[in-house]
Amino acid sequence: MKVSYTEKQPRVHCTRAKVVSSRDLPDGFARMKLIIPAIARQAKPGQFVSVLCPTDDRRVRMFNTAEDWAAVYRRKPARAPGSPPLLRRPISIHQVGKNGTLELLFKVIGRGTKLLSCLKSRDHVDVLGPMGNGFDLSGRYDTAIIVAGGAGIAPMPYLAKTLHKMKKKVVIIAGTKDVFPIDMSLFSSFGAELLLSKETRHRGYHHGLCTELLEQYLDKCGRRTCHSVQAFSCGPKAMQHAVAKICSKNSVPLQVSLEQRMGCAMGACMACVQKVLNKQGYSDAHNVRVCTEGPVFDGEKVVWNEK
Amino acid sequence: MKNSDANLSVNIAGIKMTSPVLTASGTFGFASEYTRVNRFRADDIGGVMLKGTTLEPREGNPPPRIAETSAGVLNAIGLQNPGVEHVITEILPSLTNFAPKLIANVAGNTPLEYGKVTKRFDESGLVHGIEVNISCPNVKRGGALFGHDPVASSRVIKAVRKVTSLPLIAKLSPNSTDICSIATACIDSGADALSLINTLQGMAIDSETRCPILGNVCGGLSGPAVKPVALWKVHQVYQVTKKHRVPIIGMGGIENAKDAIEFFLAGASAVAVGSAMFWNYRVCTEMVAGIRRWMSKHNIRRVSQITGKLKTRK
Repeated sequence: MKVSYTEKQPRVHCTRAKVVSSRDLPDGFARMKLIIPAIARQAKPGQFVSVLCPTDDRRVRMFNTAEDWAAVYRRKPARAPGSPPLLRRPISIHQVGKNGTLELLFKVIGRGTKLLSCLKSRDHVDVLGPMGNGFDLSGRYDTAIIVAGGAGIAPMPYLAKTLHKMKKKVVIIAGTKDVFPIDMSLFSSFGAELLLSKETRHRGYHHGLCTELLEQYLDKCGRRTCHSVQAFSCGPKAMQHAVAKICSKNSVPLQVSLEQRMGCAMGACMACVQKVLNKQGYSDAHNVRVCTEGPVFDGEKVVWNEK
Repeated sequence: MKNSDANLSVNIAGIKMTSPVLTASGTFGFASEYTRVNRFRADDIGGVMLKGTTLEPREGNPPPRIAETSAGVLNAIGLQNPGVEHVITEILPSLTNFAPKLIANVAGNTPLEYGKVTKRFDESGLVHGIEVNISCPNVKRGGALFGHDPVASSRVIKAVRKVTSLPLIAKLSPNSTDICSIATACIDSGADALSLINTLQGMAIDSETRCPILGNVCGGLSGPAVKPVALWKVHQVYQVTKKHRVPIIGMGGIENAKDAIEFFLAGASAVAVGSAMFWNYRVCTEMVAGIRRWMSKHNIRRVSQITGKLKTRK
């Protein structure tokens, strides 16, 4: 196992950030805008921040009134079940704005993210970041294909914007079940070509999976143009596995952004691991930390069906 | 008495530390990870217990390896580490100007392996003490299998004692039926100090998917939820160790100075912070300041004066 634990890593900041705005979005997503100049200055596309969930009583009481618990318990429980969350939640950087603002987009899946989505403007939240390696944008390609599924859309606007600034042609292939959490025309402002799919039938959208769109697009490109293409993807693991297969078939280099349950996000606890291959192939697969060596990995090196 | 008059230095079996607050094994990696955080102060940490290290590199358990429960954290890492050679040659030498004392955490499948790892650490001269992990609940072989039986525990401690003159700390499991007999066995076999508790065994289930959350099914519980258990175990073991004058490093759910004082009163000579590091990287700095304030308020000059000073109810 060749994991360098002591390689020089850039500094990480831990600050109390002020919430500028917070909004609930369709399909259980939430978006939060924060002022954190220290992190915003350093952040690269594909990196994430580790956010401490608010734990004061006021928030917990707010959480009591949320409909999801009311639905579970038929009426408001006397207090929120369980105790306030402890661990920080890893959330990818959605956009970096001017004046040191940072936008986070996340899906509300449990107690911690619910509490975060309850934050209002002028509240404060403790943020650690920027964490992880981020996407590697170097290389001789002129077209970047961005494949995003479901919550995997979160890190993509910042990536598309950065690629657009680098004068690359950007193609967004995104899929969702029913509705996109954000207004997808945002990507058009970065000069991106949009190919969208939904699993339910909608006018103007491909009916099916975004991986089908990717396959069609690459077929259309043909072998020759595939050489100058770099693909980036983020989303559910099954989707990313399919993307990796398609890209490998068309010999398109791919970078995947993965997620895993995290402990410290600093590389100390070894909780968030992913099995990846070394040069020697499967005989040498080993676990590396998603928070430090990831979250972005070479699509060819990820061991997808891990037992 | 001023806050600055409080003397926080402790001597745990010959390891002289400027602060009684340590970081527990497995939560602070190999000591270099957290130094990346801006304004992180390592000076307030008395010692760092390194991630459990084995003779050969280990891959650990399949993910997911961590789950959050009410007031607790459940983990099943399974001792993933790059092996003792890598730690000695690549990681520890790069830690220059690092104030806290380094305590290696040693694990293995057999007593012989424990001995070999310890010998390598001892020869390297890079660590100030050895913590013998006879309590890891997340591995199939070794770990807790030794720590649940006084005879097996004693075999491991003896094997390690033979190869090193460094201070030896035995890390005990709260999952054994009689922790006092294990403590006695470890002391009799040559342990200079005890650290307790390791995590409590537990599991988490996702009611939607009907699957266990952890890849290993079973994991070890830590965090504020285990503090009462830890306090009771420290109190119990202190009744045994005070006769032998063997110090205890108390750990389990410590989050602030108040928690630390409670452990001192129960019988700990030093405390270690574990999971709390995950959500508050300044926890050690805050605790040291808090302990100072408490000592000045209660007019106590040395932190060692309060070890085991639990009053009995009238």
